[in-house]
Amino acid sequence: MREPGPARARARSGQQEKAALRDMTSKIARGDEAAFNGFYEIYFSRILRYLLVVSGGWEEAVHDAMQESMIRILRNMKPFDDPGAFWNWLRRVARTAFIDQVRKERRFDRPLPRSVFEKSGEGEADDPDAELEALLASCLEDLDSAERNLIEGKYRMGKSYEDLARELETTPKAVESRLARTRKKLKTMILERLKP
Amino acid sequence: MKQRSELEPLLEDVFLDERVESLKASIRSACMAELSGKRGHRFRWWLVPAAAAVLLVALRVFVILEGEIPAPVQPDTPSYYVFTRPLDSGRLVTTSSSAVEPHRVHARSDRHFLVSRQEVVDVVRTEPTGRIGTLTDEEMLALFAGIPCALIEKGDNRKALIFIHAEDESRFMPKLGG
Repeated sequence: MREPGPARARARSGQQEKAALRDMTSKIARGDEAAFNGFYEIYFSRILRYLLVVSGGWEEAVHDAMQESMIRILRNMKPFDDPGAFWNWLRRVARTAFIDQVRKERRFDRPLPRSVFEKSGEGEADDPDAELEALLASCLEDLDSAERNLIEGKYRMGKSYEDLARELETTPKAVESRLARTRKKLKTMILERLKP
Repeated sequence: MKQRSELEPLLEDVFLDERVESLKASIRSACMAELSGKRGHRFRWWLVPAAAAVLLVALRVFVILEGEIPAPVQPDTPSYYVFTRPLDSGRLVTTSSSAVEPHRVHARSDRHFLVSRQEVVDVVRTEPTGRIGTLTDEEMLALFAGIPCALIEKGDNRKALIFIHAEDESRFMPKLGG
């Protein structure tokens, strides 16, 4: 019996994804710069956000641990087929680097959440972005209406700075600055809510 | 790769501010240095078998060249001493040999037979003799007539028989007990 169309398309897409991941990880393991740049663009932000979640929003310590995380990933890279296994390995390396960095610098001024010491898949969300997105959604609700409208206009409706500037009777540069301030406010709110 | 949600672009922008962009750029530089080191490390590993091959070739060339060098000249043949003294008459024997097929050997009370697994065994019969003889120097040298050799005195009644050619020496000395 033939597979239904969407299922077959998903299977084919899954195979392509695995092949692409194997190609990328194999090349990085051999020291290929282009492959590493591709990986870096995809995973830098994701690893950073993951560490922010498991560290309870400890931004300073996360920034300090990011370099060690990326170097360890680079040194120990091996070919991967399975995106899930690859992500589990990445976050395990990043979490270990973070813990080592905190211990090395004797930064005990702030308690670490228990999740940072738990193994992948034990007591932590599979996708830390889901937790961040939930926090982001709640923070958006807490913005004042002008800020929320600006964010929604830019990110939900896809309006340009010029369109938003016309609506708000201001300049595109002013819109850009106002958006940056609003994003910073959202970040502060999220980090505050991540604290243990 | 996970599916992108509606909020993900905003989430990325929220956490990818100027400070993080700067951090990202500096970490990228550190990673590039690490990558070039990684490539260098791989290259050095490739050098190991290459170096081993070069070493083997060099060793082979050395062995060939070494074979072409003539062997060092042996020093002159050393002299061998010959000690002679008269034997007691009771120790002098005469020998005669004959071939015997083992299956035809008959035991006799006045004979001793050697038993061997070989099909033919040499039976050596010894009989005492009362004769004793000595050789003068001339008679000794006469035994080697036509062979370049010399008899020299070494003091203490010792004399040495010297062969000029090594092959003569190796031919006669084992028999003379040299």
